[in-house]
Amino acid sequence: MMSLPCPHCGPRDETEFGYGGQAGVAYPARPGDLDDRAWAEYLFVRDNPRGWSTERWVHRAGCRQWFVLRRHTVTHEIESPA
Amino acid sequence: MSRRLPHGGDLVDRDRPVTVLVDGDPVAAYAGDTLASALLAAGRRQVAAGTYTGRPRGVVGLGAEEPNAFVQVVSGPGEPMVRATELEVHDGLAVQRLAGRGRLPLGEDDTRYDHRWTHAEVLVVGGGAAGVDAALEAARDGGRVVLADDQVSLGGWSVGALGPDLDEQVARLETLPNVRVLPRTTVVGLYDHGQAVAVERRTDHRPDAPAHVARRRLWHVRAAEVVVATGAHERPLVFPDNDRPGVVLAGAAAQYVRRFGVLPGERAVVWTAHDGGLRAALDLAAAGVELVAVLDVRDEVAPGLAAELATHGVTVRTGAEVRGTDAGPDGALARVHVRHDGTIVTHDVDLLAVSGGLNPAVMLFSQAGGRTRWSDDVAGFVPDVPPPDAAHPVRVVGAAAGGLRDDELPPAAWFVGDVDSQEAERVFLDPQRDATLADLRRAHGAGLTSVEHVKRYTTIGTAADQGRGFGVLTVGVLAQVLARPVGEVGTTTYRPPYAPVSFALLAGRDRDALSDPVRVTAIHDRHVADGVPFEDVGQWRRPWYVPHQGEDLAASVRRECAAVRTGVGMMDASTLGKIVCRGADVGRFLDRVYTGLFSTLKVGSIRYGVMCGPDGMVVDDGTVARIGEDEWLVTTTTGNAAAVLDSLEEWAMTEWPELDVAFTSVTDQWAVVAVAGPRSRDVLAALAPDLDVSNEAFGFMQWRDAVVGTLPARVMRISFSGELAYEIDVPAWYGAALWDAVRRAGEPFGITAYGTETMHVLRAEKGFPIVGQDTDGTVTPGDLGMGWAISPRKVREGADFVGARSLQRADAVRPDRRQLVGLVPTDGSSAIVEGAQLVAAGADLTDLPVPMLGHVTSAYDSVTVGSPFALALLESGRTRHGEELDAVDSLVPVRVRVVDPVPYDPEGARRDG
Amino acid sequence: MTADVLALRRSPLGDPPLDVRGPRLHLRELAFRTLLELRGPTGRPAVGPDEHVWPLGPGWWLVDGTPDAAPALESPRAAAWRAALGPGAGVVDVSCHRTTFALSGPDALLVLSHGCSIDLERVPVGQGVQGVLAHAQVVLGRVGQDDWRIHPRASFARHLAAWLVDAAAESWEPWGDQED
Ligand SMILES: [Zn+2]
Repeated sequence: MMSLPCPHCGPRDETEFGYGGQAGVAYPARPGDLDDRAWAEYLFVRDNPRGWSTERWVHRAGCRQWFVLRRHTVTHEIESPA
Repeated sequence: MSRRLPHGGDLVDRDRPVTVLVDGDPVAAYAGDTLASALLAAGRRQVAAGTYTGRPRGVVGLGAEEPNAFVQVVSGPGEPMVRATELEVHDGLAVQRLAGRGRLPLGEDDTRYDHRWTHAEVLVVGGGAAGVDAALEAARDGGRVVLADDQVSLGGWSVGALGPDLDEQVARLETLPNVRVLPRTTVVGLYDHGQAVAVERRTDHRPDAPAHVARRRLWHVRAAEVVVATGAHERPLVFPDNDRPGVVLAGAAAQYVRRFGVLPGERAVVWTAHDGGLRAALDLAAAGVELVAVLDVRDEVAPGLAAELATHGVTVRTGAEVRGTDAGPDGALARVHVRHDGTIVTHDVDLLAVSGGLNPAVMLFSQAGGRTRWSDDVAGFVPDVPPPDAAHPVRVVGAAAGGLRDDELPPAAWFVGDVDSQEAERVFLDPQRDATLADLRRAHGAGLTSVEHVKRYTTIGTAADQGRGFGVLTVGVLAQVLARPVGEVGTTTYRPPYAPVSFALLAGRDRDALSDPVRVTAIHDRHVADGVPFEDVGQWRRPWYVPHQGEDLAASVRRECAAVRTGVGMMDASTLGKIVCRGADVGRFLDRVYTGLFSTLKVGSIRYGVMCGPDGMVVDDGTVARIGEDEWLVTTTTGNAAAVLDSLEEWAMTEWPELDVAFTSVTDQWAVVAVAGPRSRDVLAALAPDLDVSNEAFGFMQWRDAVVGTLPARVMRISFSGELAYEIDVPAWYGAALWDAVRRAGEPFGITAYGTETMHVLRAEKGFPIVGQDTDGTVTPGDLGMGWAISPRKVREGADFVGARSLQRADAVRPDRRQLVGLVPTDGSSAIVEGAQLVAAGADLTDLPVPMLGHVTSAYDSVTVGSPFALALLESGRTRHGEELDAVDSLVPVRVRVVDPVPYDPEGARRDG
Repeated sequence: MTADVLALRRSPLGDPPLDVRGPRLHLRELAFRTLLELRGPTGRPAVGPDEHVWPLGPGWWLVDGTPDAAPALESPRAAAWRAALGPGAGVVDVSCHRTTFALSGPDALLVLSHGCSIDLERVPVGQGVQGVLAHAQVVLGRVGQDDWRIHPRASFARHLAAWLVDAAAESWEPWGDQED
């Protein structure tokens, strides 16, 4: 069981959180301008690194805030983003 | 024949005799004994038998490294395969010796087990000298320390060596307020971020404990730092017929003398590869064991130890080796064959004490991701590279780190001598699996060279001891076979749990009613009083149907449906999800997350909405009511309330933080009674005389605040049945009072309570899909025939909403998508089964694969339609009305006709009453 | 009239009221308290005696106030808070959405530790947390060293009450060495 550092509540067990996938994939400003390939890229394509991953989490059972952290997908080392 | 010494044994209390039953026979013991020490004291040498060979086996070790002495506990709740070396005796304990595997006790274990969570700055695992020292050090600055030790009392196995200093330290530790000492507690797993899981045996040794006291406890410890002070396990030496009762680890034999006052034998050969084995020989000699030979594989003997042994008349033979053993008539050890200086000598003995060295107990360190290396100094694997997560350090101290040794001479890394192929069949590398050196050689012959592969091929190290006893020895033997250095071969991976954990303990108190929360509405007690059957909807418990005396589900639902279609019905609708959206930008926000247009909604009005994911697929539907300029109330399906709130917050927080919107779940704030049917207006008029309930004053999709009965209420005119209907919301404290008031006021109109089943039938007759039942994450609003729910104005103006772009993809507008249709059986009576596959009429079901055209999502017996009726998703469904298909369930086809999904009142004439 | 209507209220636990006492623990429901969620204030809002404020998130608070004297669709105190906090702030009445348990006595923390992974020892008096207790989402507030308020959602209240009473089995009837 990982312990994740909520920026507002401090460290809590992983089960209090929801995983939001890769960070930094913004909803396109004008989806209508994207062709099918670019839209599909936004919808479905994400990095899947073996190593450091910058990702979104939400403290669902706590303060319900979304935040970003860096997690090593092999060792589960965790860093807050720079 | 008692082997109990007249004195000695600091762990046993000779004033407290205890009797245990072994295979029904009483065995005398003292409080503080383990079953192993009690059996040894009673002279019972055979305590088990080989799983496959049936060969007699005895106690080999002292604790967790024991490979042989497993018993079945048959007293109390019972337990299969418990190590005799770890089983604390008490009056009433009854066990059976095992030949191989144990048996899960049949019947329910109603003993109490629980869990606890705790946090510490430092967790110390192991209460020996190193652990106690580490705990005292850690406690110095006031931080919280947890010290878990699997023994009855702290001190480990080196008490004799360290003496009063350690006793004093233990006493000091136990007085510190910031230290929690957990004896009889085994840490079974070390996980991410300083989390340890431990098993505490609380009342196993206390048969007088009342039933409400938890027998065992699973601890979840979260620690900033973990100190592993788990000591070392003694390693055996192997030779032909090494598995006979009477072949005991030398260090363990000495501890049985010192700690339990038990003599494991009277005439002994000691064979060792390190100074610790010679020290054990000294202890045995001092206790009166006749040492007929002391052998060391090394070519040199430490002069100090040699001198001490000489005072007992013992000369150490160097470069010597045990070549085999013979058993006596009882199957236990009787003779040892020793090779020394090229000649074989045979000794009559009842004890062969062997010690191949000490394996640092690095299991937890390895579990946490630490890497080990072979150390020639220790002749064992020692911690090398710490776990990578430096934020949660794992430190190894004491013997577990290869320390706490006072060797005069370095130990030898000696594993097995020259053994021919016949003898190899009797060199047991995993006695519990009855796996031998011959098996290992066969694995090598089959081309296996990795220790992980050899383990799985031979099963060596897969038994309950998980390689603790013989694992490293096997690695050494494999290295010899491969002619490679031991360190290159490496160990197998250590995975949790370190010791078995019962399912009952893992479940803890999460059993029966407490296993998962049951959510009930404010009206629940009324349903219970009415004796209604309940349906589980997620965690909610909802009335399923409301039968009269003697009615079954079908009869009750027929009556309930008829009541709503022709008179008036009432149901508890409190479980619908409710979310208050507040802020200046809620209208704009809802325009973005719903397919429809909401910013134009007026205060006092309600609009139906469909919500899609970014992929254009329907995720929920519900209504939105505008309560005030800046306040809106969103309702969701019962099962989706949490997911919709999550989604709304995610969009608001992560994509559009500039919008002034905030969300509050109020699902439990309101108790809701739905009143539906052509007479519902009469009931509401009777309940709320001050409310103008006329169609003109209170139209469809509007809400009004009112006093209902005597209660403050909000009334919404919405319908999930197609009939004139209202939902009355009151603060949940008044839910039961509202139910009573509606029932009283409805009595003159024959009001009928109904449940979820009737609700489903009524909505299906109107073709209202249920998200999650009639949809599955691949269904667009268009597929449901709900293109109308997409705001034409938004489309015209090119305004985006979540899912809009996806709905333009070629795949989303294919004409042959699966679309919602209705189905009726052509014979007017055959039941259609939910989940049935739709295939061409008359399709040959044996000609595989049968092309599947769609599937049934909902099916009911509908009085209104006059026959069974189903909703289905069907390829090109909207163009196939009138076609016949087969709906196949379990290879049984039912001929069906495709019809409009709205068989009842398609014009919507009934909603105004 | 008001009294008649108030008499119709039922707390989520129903009857009889929850009030269990042992040598080291006291568990009871404080029914019908006025619970309000406030959005906006960055600093902790001030409340009266026998009232508490727990932080739920950034600018987000739960006010646990004394019961109202009259029935209403929305507690009049919601409007009072709106007026006090000014435009931009949000107030939602959640009095019936959650209920209030008081768990007090030297074993209170121990009982919570049977089903809560949060480091509650480190929660100072006067502070609260949102998290999971007994598989249910709750707001926990520490009103004294050994005195806690638990606010489960109303639909979870019976589950939580049953869970707490069971978790405290060894506190109702202590046996052997007392633990902490
Ligand atoms: Zn948080």
